[in-house]
Amino acid sequence: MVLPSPEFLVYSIAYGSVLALLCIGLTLTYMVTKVPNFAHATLAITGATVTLFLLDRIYYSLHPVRCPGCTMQYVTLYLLAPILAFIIVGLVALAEYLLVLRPLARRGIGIIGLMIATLAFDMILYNALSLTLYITPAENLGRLMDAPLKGFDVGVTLAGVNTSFSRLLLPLVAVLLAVALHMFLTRTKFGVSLRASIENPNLARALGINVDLAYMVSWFLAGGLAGASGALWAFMIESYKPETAYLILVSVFAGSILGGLGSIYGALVGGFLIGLAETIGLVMAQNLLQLLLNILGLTVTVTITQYQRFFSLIIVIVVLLIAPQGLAGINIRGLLARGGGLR
Amino acid sequence: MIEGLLSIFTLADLLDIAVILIVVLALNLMAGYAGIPNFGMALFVFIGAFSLAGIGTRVALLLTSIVDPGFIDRLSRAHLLIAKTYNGSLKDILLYGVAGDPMVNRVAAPEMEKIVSQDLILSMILLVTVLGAAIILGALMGIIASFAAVRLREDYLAIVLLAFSEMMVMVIFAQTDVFVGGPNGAYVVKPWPTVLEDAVKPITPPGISSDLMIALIVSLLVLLLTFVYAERIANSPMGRVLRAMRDDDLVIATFGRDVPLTRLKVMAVGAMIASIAGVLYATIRTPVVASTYDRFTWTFVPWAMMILGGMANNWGVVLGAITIYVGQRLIYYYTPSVFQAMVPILDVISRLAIPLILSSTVLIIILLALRWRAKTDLERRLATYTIIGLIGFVGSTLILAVSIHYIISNIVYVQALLPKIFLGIVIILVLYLRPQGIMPEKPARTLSRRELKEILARESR
Repeated sequence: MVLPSPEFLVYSIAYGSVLALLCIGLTLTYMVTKVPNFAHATLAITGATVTLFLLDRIYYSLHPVRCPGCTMQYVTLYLLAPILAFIIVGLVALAEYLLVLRPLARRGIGIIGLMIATLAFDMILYNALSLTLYITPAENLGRLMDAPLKGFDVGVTLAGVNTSFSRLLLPLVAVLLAVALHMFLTRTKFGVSLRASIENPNLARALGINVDLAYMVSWFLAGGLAGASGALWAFMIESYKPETAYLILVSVFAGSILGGLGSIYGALVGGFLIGLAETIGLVMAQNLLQLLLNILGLTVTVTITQYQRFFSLIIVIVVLLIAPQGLAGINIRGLLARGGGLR
Repeated sequence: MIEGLLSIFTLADLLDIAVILIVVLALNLMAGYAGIPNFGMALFVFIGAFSLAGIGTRVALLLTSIVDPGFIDRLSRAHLLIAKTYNGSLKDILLYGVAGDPMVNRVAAPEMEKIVSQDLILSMILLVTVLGAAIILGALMGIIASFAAVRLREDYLAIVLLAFSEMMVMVIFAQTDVFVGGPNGAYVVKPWPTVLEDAVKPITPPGISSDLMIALIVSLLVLLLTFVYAERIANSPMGRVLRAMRDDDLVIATFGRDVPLTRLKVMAVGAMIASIAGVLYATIRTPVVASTYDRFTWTFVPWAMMILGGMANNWGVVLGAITIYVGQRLIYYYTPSVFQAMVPILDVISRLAIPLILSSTVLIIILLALRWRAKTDLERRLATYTIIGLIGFVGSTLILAVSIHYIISNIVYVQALLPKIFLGIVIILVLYLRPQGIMPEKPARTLSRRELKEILARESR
């Protein structure tokens, strides 16, 4: 059995969608500020915390076990959580830009200083989040920390595949947001001026474009995408902890580097590919390894699935060694033209 | 008051400071002088701890079983499950059990320490192997971690180093038992002989273990060596090459220096020093649990210390490290009493919440109007800062007033997390107000004019 089950396929597509949205946000902020935002994963977990608080404050009584007929209320949660998280986390990201990065960049702090500033913001946000969870008036602490968010997901059976509502919703939301972003960037005047501000801020300023506003909007959008995807990603977390953010950061950077850190479409593809590689790719690699060992006559059981993030680190290293510009650096037209020449 | 302050700090804190100073000096060599944004410092410190807990215990078992052939039998007799699981097989216990299995590790480590420390030669062999492993593994890790991105821009290097450190420590070492017991951690065998313990006994204050005293003395010695080495490097031609590489790698490449190779060398040396610090830290903070070597404690805090003190100034980073360590401990220590003292005031405020919100809203509207009517840039900026400050102050006071009783009942968490939040804010403020740090970088000390003239005269003769 080398091929994974359809349930797992749905899971990995949903996970890939989360990573794709996170990578788009990270790449957008990187293009605007030219600094990798080390707080991006914590922004995502802030989105997940919004879902947690909604569940705790409004929906706690609707635990699936206790309330089998409450599907409609859950649907409102699935809509409310990403929208609310989009706004809240977007504002947090905007605060990071306005209060930390913009003043520092204006004072001429170098890239290392800016990176350490994002790391400092990450530490503040992460610890403030933990602190909020610890001192929140809850009946008992265990209710918020280690909350089994996965258990709140509504199960759905579609075409014989047992899956859940959030996993079906995530790819949809990702496609919707990506298309909306694409439309915004190419079809609206503001989107075009945003791209111009990223491409050449001085020229854009000379043409009367409000570059500051464009950058602020980019940061808000990046934070919003992280928040919305984090709010739905919450339903895939086994047990909620702010620490979860620690490790997804590597996957997000992996996707962005694979995408080339300079192209939003590259980030979309890169994030999705990393998501697939960490789930399906890893399981297939494990099964192949097992098969190989069985053929060799060894009776060892291999489990490498807990090292999924290590897989993405290897991808990063390979990409940086072979093609540091990532997917965006591959000249598709050039390759096609060369192929044509051979013919 | 002063005595109360001093009672917060113990000799163990002195060890912590010494170890973190070694780490910060190594980081300063990499980041301050050579401009390598090493966001993976935690990995290199952990490699040192791993050399002691993962490799040191195994070497100790090997040595013990050579000296005392009945050791495995006694170990098996001590615990029925050990006998059942390992069947008295030295190979299995050596490869997995002694560091990976908490059941064996907890029983074997103190026993092995007793046997090894009695024999001067055995403990010296152990010490040399552990230090050698730390040096070699640390340098190797430094090269491997930075190899992929050493030719690229700083931001790629930072991302790869951070990712590598998180992956190695949090995924590989923290989730796999075989190295250092995964989530359970592993107890270490301290490589100090009894002779040394007897030697330090006269100078050990009462109530302090001699292990701590030895670790402290050794750490201070290593710290001194590291400091002298860092100063020598900084003022050598090599140090000037590193600074030039940091300021403009293109120029130094034009002058025929191999930038990637130099970066790799600096990474190897810095990682090596950090991993020696890790060994010293692990001798006291045992068991070694991989997940405690996290991004905050061993990467961000050293960076913060370096930035506060002043990058590329060894005296500065020492000052910064001590300031931040002491400050964090003081915040930790005084948090409960400060919050206790605030309770009566906050209770009054929480009763006056609605008038407070209303009045501050009116004030903010007036300020907004003033800002709108402002004629000069200074006035506008002043109004903006006042508004932000007012919102921040009133908002945080109200949040505090509402949640003070929950804070008091969960003060342990607040105590642990508040210093970290403060540190993050302090670093952003330092970067904004004084990016060069308390003690800015000084020009490298070269030979004096007179000496140069003498050399020139000798050369021309």
